[in-house]
Amino acid sequence: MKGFFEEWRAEALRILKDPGILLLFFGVQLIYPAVYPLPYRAEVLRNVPIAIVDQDRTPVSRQLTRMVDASETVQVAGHFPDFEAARKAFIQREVSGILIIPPDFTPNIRKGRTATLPLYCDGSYFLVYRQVAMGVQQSAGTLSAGIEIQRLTATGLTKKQAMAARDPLPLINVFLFNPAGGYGAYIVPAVLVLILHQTLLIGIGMLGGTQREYGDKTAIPENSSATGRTLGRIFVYFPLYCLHIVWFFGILFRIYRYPQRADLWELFFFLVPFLLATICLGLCLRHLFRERASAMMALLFTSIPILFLSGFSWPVEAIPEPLRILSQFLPATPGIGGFLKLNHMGADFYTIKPEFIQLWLQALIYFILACIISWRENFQQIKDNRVP
Amino acid sequence: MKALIPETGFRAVFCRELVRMARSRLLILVVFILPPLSFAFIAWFFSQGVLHSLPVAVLDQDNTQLSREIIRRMDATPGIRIHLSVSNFTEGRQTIQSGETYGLVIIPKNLEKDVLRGLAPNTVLYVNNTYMIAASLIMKDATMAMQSLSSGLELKSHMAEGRTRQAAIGHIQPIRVDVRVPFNPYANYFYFLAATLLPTMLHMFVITSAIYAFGSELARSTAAEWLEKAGGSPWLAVFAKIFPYTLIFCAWGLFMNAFLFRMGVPMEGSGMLLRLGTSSMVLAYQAVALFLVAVCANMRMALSLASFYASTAFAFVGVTFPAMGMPSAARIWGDLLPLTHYLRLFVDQTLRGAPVQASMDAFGSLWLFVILAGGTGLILMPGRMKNPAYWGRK
Repeated sequence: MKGFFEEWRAEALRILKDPGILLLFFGVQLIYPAVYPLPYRAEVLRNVPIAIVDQDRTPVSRQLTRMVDASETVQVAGHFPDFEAARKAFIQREVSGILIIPPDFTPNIRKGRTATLPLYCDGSYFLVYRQVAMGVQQSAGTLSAGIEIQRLTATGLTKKQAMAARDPLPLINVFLFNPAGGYGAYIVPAVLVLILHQTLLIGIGMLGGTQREYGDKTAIPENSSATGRTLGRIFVYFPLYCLHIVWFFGILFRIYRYPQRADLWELFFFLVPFLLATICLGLCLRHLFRERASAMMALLFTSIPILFLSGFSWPVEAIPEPLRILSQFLPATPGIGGFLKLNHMGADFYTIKPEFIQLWLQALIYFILACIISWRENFQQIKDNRVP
Repeated sequence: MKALIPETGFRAVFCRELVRMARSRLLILVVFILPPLSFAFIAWFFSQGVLHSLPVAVLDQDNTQLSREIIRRMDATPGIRIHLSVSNFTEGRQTIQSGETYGLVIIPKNLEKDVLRGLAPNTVLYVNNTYMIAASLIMKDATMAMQSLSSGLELKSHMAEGRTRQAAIGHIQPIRVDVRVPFNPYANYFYFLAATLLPTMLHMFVITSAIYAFGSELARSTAAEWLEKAGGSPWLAVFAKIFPYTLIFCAWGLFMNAFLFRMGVPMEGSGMLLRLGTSSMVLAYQAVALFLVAVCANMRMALSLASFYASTAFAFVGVTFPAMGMPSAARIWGDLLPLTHYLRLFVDQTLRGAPVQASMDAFGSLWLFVILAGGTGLILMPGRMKNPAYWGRK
């Protein structure tokens, strides 16, 4: 354990003396959570503008138009005489969908035939497509059901019987967790865990890169043990990131009103091995960075791939097997997965035991590796001392 | 050979840069190795394209022919795979929480009997909306399966009353919405996500390599030598230095587009405009890099700012969550990213088949970056190059 305090002090001083590193360990945690959720502040996409081409011009078609306009997800942005005119507005991005009410719309309903409403959606933006299709289908569905129930009650059924007859096998959809379907509540918590992961890995790497690039004036304490030095470094980052956890999930979550089903202590208990695994992985990778800039770039280039690899936005079932196996070595994968289960889905600790164990295993393996690398530093220094 | 490379001038700086590039492991990585690697990674990652067979649990409390038919129909949809059957709600919820399944279908007791008695018993589908993409697919497919089963039953009862099949269909479904997706007709997630992620990765490589190229001259105090090679003309120095990067990244941009089309992204508009747009995006980000280095006169600072600028970009470009739903502050920030304009042009020209005029404002915006950011950079940069006070800053 010799060298623990010396290295702890040396590492802390390296951080405190370097404004760039300070920015990474303190600034990012303040700025990102303020900026990143900004696009998603409305949480749900509402009132997507669509065009109506009403070639029917009857009270029924006008009623349909009103119902579409009244739906939460879409709004009628304009009436156009024909499809071509509406298409122009679409290309100009004035509307994001085109609903055509054909001239035979009301006649067909009267004759008891199915009246078809062509709806042109914008498949180039997934969320827009979903909201437009949902809003129009719901409005048309309500109108359709009304007509059908009218017909059925005309044959002598009660209203309740009529409703049962028109849909004998109804399906009720219930969203578990994130019931409002908020986009920010879906993406931001995972990104926050990723920020912890990335700033730790890269901050540590940047310190290593700076040491390599500009030479290290703080030499290894004499007769120190590799384990002691590694532990010394770990205990610089660990308390700091414990504070960040409290700030992210204790304070920011409340400000943004994100779902909070686990209590802070439970989250904390889960994130301890996550932090340890990430710090130790950082210490292992530290020596790969030969200059400061490369660490910074690594932070930038790896964030998006790691977010996808963690399997929260793209279902794990659809990730190719080799990539899925590779992702299991990153603390972010069990970290984000377990965090979402614990906090979003209200899972108990027993349910996330696999993730918890995996994180401890990673922490152990990366700790041993970090100690070995630190042990080799001794030889490096002896060699360096001989050279001059 | 020596005669081909003059002592000073455009070609001299150009060749000097090639040597610098070849000597820097970092630049070789960022300029030559990482772009194709990241393209390959994304293509591999999304190689399944359309999602299918997501695991769902079922709680069948009825256990009749009809309930088994429901399960069979759901399992037969492309999106859903009935993964296991559970014996109570808690157990089903557990499989969702552990990530084993994405949803739970609960079929009520006496379902078949109640249907025959005309009571319309509710089947309930619980989906885990923590994973939004999976949830919306499962919901869509389950709803479709149930509706077809339900209207099948209704149809039977109408036909039993003596109506013809067509009259019965008209009767049970007075209005039908025919959803047509002329743009991205396969609703393929690959087109939508990968097509966005590739340029997003590319822009990161463009901006960081340019910052490194300009910034390292100041950081390593080699600016005087650089200027000397350019025959004392700072602008020539800047142009000749960035030119190899422009060439290489434009080539990567063309490669990227060809790659996307090979993966099946449709090309409905002008291929020429798209190619010009990709090259303009490369130039726009190089201009922004020059601007940042010139303003900061400090590579570290410029690189930190560029990292922030590029790493938040994906949230603001308006692809996953569209710009129309963002507050105006977020929309303005999005407009300050060349990537936003490029992706708009990309979507217009590939998926939508928009006429060339419709993309001119996006194209113009890219050039606005080149002119404004690049112009400011060109005005400030000579001072930075000539004044040793700005050199070697850490």
